[in-house]
Amino acid sequence: MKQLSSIINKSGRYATLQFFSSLSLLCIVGLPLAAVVLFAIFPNLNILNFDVPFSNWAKYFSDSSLLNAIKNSLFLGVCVVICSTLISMPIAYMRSIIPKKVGVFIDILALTPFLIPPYIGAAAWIQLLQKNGFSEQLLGINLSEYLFSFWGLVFVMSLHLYPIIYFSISSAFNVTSRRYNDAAFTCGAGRLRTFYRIQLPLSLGALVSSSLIVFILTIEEFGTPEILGQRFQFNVIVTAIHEKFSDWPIDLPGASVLSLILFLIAFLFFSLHILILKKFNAQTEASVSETIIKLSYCEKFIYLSVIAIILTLSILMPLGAIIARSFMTTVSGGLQIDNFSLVNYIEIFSSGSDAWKALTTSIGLAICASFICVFIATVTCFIIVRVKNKFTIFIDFLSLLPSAIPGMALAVGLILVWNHPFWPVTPYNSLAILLLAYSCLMLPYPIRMIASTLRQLPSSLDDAAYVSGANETIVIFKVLLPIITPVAIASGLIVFAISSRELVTSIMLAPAGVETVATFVFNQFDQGSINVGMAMSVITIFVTGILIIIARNLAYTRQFNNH
Amino acid sequence: MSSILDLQNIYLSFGNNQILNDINFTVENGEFLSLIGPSGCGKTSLLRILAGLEKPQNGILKYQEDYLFDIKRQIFIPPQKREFGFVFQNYDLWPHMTVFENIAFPLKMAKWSKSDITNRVSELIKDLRLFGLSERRPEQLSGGQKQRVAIARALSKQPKVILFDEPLSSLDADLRHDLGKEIKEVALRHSLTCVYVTHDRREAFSLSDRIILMKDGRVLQSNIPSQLYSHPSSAWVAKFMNCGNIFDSETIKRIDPKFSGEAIIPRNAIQINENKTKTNATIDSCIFFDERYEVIANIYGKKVEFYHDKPLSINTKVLLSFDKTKIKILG
Repeated sequence: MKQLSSIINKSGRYATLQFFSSLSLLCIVGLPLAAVVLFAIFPNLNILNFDVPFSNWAKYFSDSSLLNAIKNSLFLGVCVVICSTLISMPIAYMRSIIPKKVGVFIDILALTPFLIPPYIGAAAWIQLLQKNGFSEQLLGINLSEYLFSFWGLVFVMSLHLYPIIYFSISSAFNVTSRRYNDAAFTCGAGRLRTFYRIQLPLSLGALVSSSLIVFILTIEEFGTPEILGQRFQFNVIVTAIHEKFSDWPIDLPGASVLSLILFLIAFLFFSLHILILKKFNAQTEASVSETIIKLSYCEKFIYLSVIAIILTLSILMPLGAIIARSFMTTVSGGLQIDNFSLVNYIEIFSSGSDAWKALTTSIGLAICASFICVFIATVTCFIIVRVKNKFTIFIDFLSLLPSAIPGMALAVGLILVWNHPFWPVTPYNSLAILLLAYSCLMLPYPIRMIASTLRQLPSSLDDAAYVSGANETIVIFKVLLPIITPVAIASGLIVFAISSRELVTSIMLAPAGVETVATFVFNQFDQGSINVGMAMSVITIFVTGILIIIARNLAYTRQFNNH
Repeated sequence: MSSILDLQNIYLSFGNNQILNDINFTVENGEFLSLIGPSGCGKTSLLRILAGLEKPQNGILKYQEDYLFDIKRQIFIPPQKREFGFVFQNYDLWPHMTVFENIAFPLKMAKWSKSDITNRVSELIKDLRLFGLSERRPEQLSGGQKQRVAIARALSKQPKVILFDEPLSSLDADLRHDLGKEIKEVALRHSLTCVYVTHDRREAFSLSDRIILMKDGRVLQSNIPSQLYSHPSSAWVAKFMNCGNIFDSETIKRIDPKFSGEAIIPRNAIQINENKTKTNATIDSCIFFDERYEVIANIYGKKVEFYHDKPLSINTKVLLSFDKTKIKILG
């Protein structure tokens, strides 16, 4: 029986909540985006002049270096998608035919590359492969010319992003395949044929939709192309925008045109992603049993070695390099016993040091961002899921939009909005601007988590309370909120974990003299004092790792279970 | 008996989708009334209108002498103030509250004192045989226990009217039968007025004083169960109520030329004539079920269903005879 929307959901209290939700979304998401679009079209907007729209587009589109950056971004995106698919396919397939217990172990390992922020991963690969790097010290191999090349960049970015595709197709295999596989086996199909005739077509939607996300994350990534790409003069859209701000005079209209292009590409791919998700979601059904395929020793050996190679490349080597560097006293000392000490950690935890200040700044900002995001998301999700009218479509759209706004474009938008004498009070040049940026970028996480939990709660739970005599406020705070609390906390932890290491808006927006964890690490790499930066990275990786594991457990253990 | 609920000209639509079309009926005090019909007929929407969870576009809804909804007077009493009990299809117990808290919730909303709440809840726990479960959470209960808690919650404020929305449909067959009996007993014990939505004929027949049959947002027929069964108002009703074999006027004329129009031939009107000199039918299937054989035979190109006490092999030619006094001609 379909759920009928309830009549009482349209009364007074909801109107207030709806107003709050749309106002905060407009302020956090709508303003910077509108600024990017308007500035890109009207180059003289900073003096409130709407003349000569599109006047500078011809100039930018005849600039070969900008066209090159766009071409590079797109090509890089395509290559990273292909490479990530090639990495994740074999693991996902193996995951679907081995016992579930081993599979869970692989899942946990596959989550780890996510925990290494990409700019730190890139720095780790430089430590491993550069001239006189770890590989040359230990094995005498110098692969630096391969690392500092387009394919090196693709390789490093794919090793960071493949888990997105892996988790997506692995769960698609799980949900759709086992029973259908059994059916194919009984019809006489072999394992290979079952794979490409049954499993692959059934998980194509998951593959395409996750590929689109990988593409978006690739073109909006700043740290990796900046760290690796500048060694071989490789520019992408994001680094080109960054350049517009680092060379005097600052080219604001140029940055806004590039940001608009970046946003439009991301928005197009994100819309496709949503479309595909909607189309393919209907086909999935839960699997009941699992089929374990007996593997020969030879097959077992091949499968396990492929998994081992991928996991070594994506986890063991970068993480090993980061940890090793973090304990080394001097950069030049190399891998010698007497060069290992705790001196870098001692520096971070000595209060008053730059590192300590950066750490506390980031923790403070991340805590505030978590509370803001979860609060706005909670109210917004009630509106999106429980109140359905013409206006909620607009709120729904605004709340999803940040997923399609690259961090760099958002930073440009926030500068365009707030760096202006027009405002009596402005968050610009204070920590508040970072809070605005983090809140916008992180908002989709709690929105998605809380909304999907709320959707699982039948609206008859609310109705049962209404007929028992409860009003809307009681339904929200006594009935629904207690049920979604674990998920709300989990989403807050994820916001905390990700915003505490956010790089691109921090670099662009941090007020003079203020450093966050990410900018501190990035500057350490830049200035050559890599060891302290790596020690800070180790702390970040482990703290965010623990938080994300807690969050996952919270979100999964107490799911709605009443039927 | 006096009427406790009165519905007049109720119309409901969602967008262009007409859900309810001119619904009129009354519910008597202490009556057990079932709303039955195929899915999508509007029976659940009608129940939600009674509870105040849905607002119709037109009509009048009265509880005793009070208006709960009247489009002309612009009256709409919200569900919080109607004080009806409502038992939902999927139990809809709040998962973060214990059994006690779930049952006590309506009383807390009505601002009862703590001791009154404790007394009332323990009364209900006794009444619905929920001993020892009061500190459990819904996920630790069986399906039947959950639904008994849901009934206790609906009963807690001692409402005069209880609304049931397919309360047994998520349970398995045996449990459905037992809990159905229990609902009936509780209703009698507390002289409750019940409006009970179901799509299951057996449930409606075994529980109800009266059945309202709905289709496409309209009331097709309203009567006591035995009358509804013996006097269906149309071929569709006869088919839905499973009253017997429905024959068109052509075929029924071959049984007796005196008949004209559509007719229902109940299963107990058909017998196999043991005199085998002549045959008029072929056996299609014969299944043993509940002490007898359910037989489907082919006669004049039509399938006909009846019961028999002995097994029959498929494709046997038989002579079927009809008890013409039991054949009902539809208007």
